[in-house]
Amino acid sequence: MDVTGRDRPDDRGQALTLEAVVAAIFILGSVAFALQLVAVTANTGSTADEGIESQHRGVAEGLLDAAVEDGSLHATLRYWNETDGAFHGADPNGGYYVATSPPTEFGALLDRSFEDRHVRYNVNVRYATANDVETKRLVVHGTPTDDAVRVTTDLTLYGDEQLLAADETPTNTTLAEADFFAPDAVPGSDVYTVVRVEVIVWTA
Amino acid sequence: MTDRGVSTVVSYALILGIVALLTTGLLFSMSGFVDGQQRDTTHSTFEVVGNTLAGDVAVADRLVTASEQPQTVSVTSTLPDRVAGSSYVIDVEDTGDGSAVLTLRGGAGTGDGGDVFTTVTVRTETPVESTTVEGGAVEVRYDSANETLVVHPDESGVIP
Amino acid sequence: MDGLTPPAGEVSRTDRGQLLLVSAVALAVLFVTLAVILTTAIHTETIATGASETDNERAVVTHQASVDRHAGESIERVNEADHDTYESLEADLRERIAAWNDLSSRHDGGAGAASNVSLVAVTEGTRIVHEDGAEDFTNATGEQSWTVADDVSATRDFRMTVTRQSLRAPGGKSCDESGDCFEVTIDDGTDTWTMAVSAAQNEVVVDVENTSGDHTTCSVANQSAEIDLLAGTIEDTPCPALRFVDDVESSYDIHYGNADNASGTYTLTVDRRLSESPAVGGSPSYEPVIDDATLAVSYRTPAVQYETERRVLPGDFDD
Repeated sequence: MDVTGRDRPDDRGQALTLEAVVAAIFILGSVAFALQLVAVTANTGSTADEGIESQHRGVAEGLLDAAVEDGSLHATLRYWNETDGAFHGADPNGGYYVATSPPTEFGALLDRSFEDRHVRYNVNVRYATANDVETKRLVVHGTPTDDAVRVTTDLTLYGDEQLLAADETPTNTTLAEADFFAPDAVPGSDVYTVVRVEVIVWTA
Repeated sequence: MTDRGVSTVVSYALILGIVALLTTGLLFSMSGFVDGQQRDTTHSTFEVVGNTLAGDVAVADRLVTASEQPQTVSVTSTLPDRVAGSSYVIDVEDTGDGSAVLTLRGGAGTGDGGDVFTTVTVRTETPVESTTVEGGAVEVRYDSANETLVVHPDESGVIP
Repeated sequence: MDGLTPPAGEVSRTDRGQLLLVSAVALAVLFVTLAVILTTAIHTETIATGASETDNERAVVTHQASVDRHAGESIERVNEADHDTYESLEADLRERIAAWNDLSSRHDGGAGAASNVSLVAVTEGTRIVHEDGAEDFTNATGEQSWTVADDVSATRDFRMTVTRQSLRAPGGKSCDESGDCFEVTIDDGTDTWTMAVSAAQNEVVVDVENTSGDHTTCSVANQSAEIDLLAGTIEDTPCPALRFVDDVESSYDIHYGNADNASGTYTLTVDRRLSESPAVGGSPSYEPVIDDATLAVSYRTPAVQYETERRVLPGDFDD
C-alpha cells in the first residue's frame, strides 16, 4: 500500500464509473420504461373500425327485417331437400351453401345487400333440441374475424307449413311429416319449433 | 495546500449547490409537467366516462319510451372507481327541458388548481332526477311511481 | 483508516455520485408517475369506446319485436282454430305462448340473457260470420232491421260480398228516396254514417253518406262485389269513403237496414264480447275470438334489465 495513495485513484475510478453507470442506467431505464408504456397506445378500437362495423350492422339488420316481413327468410328455411338431407342446391359435403347464396328470394336479397366482394357473411340457423341448442349452417363464406358483426332474429316454424321444392313451390310434405334438420320441439302443438337466424358480417 | 483548502470548500459548496439547484429545478418542472398531464388526462377521461354514462342514460330512456307500461328498466354502467389516481363525483341535473346535464368533478389530489370539471349533456324524454353519485359502478333505474330515471350507485356488485 | 476518506484536497467524488443517484431516482419516480397517468388515460379510452350498453338495448328491442310477431301470429292461429268458449281460446293462447317462451328463452340463455314471456290477460272479441251465400242478410230471427253489434270500440275486420241479383234497384230514385236499399248504419250516439248498396244496370253501386252528410258513390260492374270497409276498397279498387272508422267516434253500434234486400256473405270482427250467444244453425253466427292479448315481457342481462307489459294485436305480420 502506498502511503501517498497512488492506488486510490484506481479504486475511486472504478467506484465512480460504477456509480455513473448505475445512475445512467436508472435514468435511461426509467425513461425507456415510461416511453415504452406510452408507445403501447391504443391501436385497438380505432374509430374507422367502428364506422364500418355499424354500417355492416345497419345493412344486416335491414336485410333481416325485410326478409322476415316478406316471408322470404321463412321460405328459405323450408327450402329443404328431405331425400338429400340438405338444402336444395347446397354443397353435398355439408348440406349448406358454400361461398354462394341460396337460390331463393332471400339469397337474392343477400346478394343485393352484400355486393362488395370484400364483405363476407355467414348465415346460421340455431334450433333447439331436447337438451341443447344446435347450429345449422346455411351459408358459409369463411371464418369470421374477431370484430365481425352479429345480427339475429327469431322465427317460428309451424308443423302445418310445407317444405319447398327446388323451384320454390310448395311440396306436399309438411314440416310435421318431414325429415327436417330441426326436430319437432313442441310435439302435440302446431308450433314446430322456434329458430334463431344469425347473420355474421365482416370485411375480409 | 492552503489555496486548495479554500477552493475545496468553495468548489464543494458550488458543485453541491449547482447540482442541488439543477435537481430541484428539474424536479419542480417535472412535477409541474406531471401535474398538468394529470389534469389533462383526468379531463379527457372524464369526457369518456361522462359520455359512456350519458349513452347508458339514453339507452334507459329509449327503453322506457319504447314500452307502454314499463315496470322495470335498469341499465348498469361500469364506470371506473378512480380516474388518474383520484376519486371523482358525478352531479346529475335535470334542466327541465328534455335534457340532463352530467358534471364530473374530481382529480382534486393534484395539488393546485382544484377540481377538474367536465360536463356532458344528454337529451331524454323521461325526466331524470337531480342527484349526486360517487364515481364507480352506477345504475340508471326507472322509477315507475314518479316516472323518472334515477342514477344511483350500483350495489349489486355484479360485473357486467 | 487512511484509505477510507478521500483526500481533503479533492472535491468529494463520492458525494457527487450520490447526488447524481438521488436526482436520478427522483426523476425515475417522476417518470414512472407520468407513465402511470398516461397509462390510465389510454386504458380508459380503450375500454370506453363501445362500452355503452347499446348492444344490450338492441337485444331488448329485438326480443320485443320477436314477442310481438309471434304473439300476433299465435292470436291469429288461435282465432282460426275451432274454439267454442273464451276459456278454451285463452287456454290455447297461453299454452302457445308458454311453448314459444320455452324455446325462445333457451336461445336467449345461450346468448347470456334471461328472458321470459307470459300471458297476463286477453280482451274478448266476437267474430260475426254469415257464410251462406244464398241467404239474405237478415238475422237469425228474420228481422230486416237489426243491430249487428253494439257498443263497439274497434272493428278489426269488416268484409262483405253481395250478389247484384239480390240488391234492390232503386229504378231512377236514389236510395234515400226509395228507402228500401240494403243499408249499413254506424251510429256513434251523436252522428250516423250510412252505406247503401243497390244495383244499377250491370253495376253494384255503393252510396256512402258520412257523418257530415256528404255523399260519395263508388261502383263496380260485376255480378258480385266484395266490399272491405276497413281497407276502403270495393273489389280491390279504392273507395276511401268506405272507411267509417276514420269518421265515427269510438264506441258505436252497427245496424243493418232492409237486410232482406241483400244476399251474399259477410264477416266482421269487433273487440267486444257480444251478448248474443252463438245462434245454432242460424245466421249469422257469433264466434268467440281474442281481440288482443296483454303479455308480461322481461329481458335481463347482467347490465340491462327490462320488464314490461305489452299489448299485442292479432298480427298483420304476413303479406
